[in-house]
Amino acid sequence: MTESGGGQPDRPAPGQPRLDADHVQAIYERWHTDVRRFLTATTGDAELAEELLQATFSRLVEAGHAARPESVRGWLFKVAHNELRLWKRRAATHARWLGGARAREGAAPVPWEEAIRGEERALIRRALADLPPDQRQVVEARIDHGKSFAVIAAEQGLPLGTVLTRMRLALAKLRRALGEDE
Amino acid sequence: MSERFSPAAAGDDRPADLDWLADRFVLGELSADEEQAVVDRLATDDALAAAVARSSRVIAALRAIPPASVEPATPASSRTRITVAAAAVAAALAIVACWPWLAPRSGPPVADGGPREVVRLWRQADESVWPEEEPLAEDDPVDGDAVPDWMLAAVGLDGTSSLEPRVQEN
Repeated sequence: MTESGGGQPDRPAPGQPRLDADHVQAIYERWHTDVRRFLTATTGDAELAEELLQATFSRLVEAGHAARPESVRGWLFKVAHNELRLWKRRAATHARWLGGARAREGAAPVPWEEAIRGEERALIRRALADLPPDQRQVVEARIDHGKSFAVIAAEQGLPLGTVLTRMRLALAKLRRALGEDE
Repeated sequence: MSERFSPAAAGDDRPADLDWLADRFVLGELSADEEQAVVDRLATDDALAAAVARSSRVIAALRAIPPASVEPATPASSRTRITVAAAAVAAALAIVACWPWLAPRSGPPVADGGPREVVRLWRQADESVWPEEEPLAEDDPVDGDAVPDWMLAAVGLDGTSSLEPRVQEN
């Protein structure tokens, strides 16, 4: 796979064949859930994740021929991450232009219920409730309140390493609860 | 980030380390250089891509839970004890509140209708306690209408007065 300076895969040279529609469809069906989760997890915004998902698969149509078949998922994550970076850059510019107003303000949010299956929510809720309180507090502070680990450590009067260890242990347990253990 | 890891190194991570690296990548906790190193690895390192997929699933599911919707788990045994105790307290309160209606009456109901009414009520009560399908033995020296002495004494019928209504004589 080749890349431009901006980290995006290059557009195909004139005359270079793109992926055919069936191939694109197959890749979409195989990996779109993983990419949507990645975007949902990194943005915390289900609607934005959907937009970026579409942009990612548009890039697949344009430049997916450059991806190695055995690494298509990683290639899609990379493209999705780059799309997110581009969006952040545009959003920052837009926000400055609007005097700080967030570009997406006022848009109807996509309910989380639609983005994440109920069964998955139930599993993670149960697993979260089963965590030791000190680990659960770190997870909630980081995920629900968006605090950095450094801030959490300062607030709880703990070394940063302790907070990181608690988060690491908690995520490992939650991963097991979802059947995602390695 | 204080923990050491090597985001640029492909294939030499233990699975647990790879998961933690992926967690921090998805959470946006890596420095710009570290993040770029992970991005550069992604297109060629399928193990890292799999770790990012696992991490994304967990973190997306966590973000889908409304804050404060998680009640800490209570051990089953203490949960059972709490339930039983709550039920016992509720039952006790209900009994205390309803005691005026639930308390057993002492003795058969007494009416104000005079000695005849008392005897009638006693017979009714007696029939309800001793149903007809249990006939008395023939040699039982029983007066079917027997009224206990204590009741006759209580209403002044213990041989000193007639069951017939008194007629006031002028």
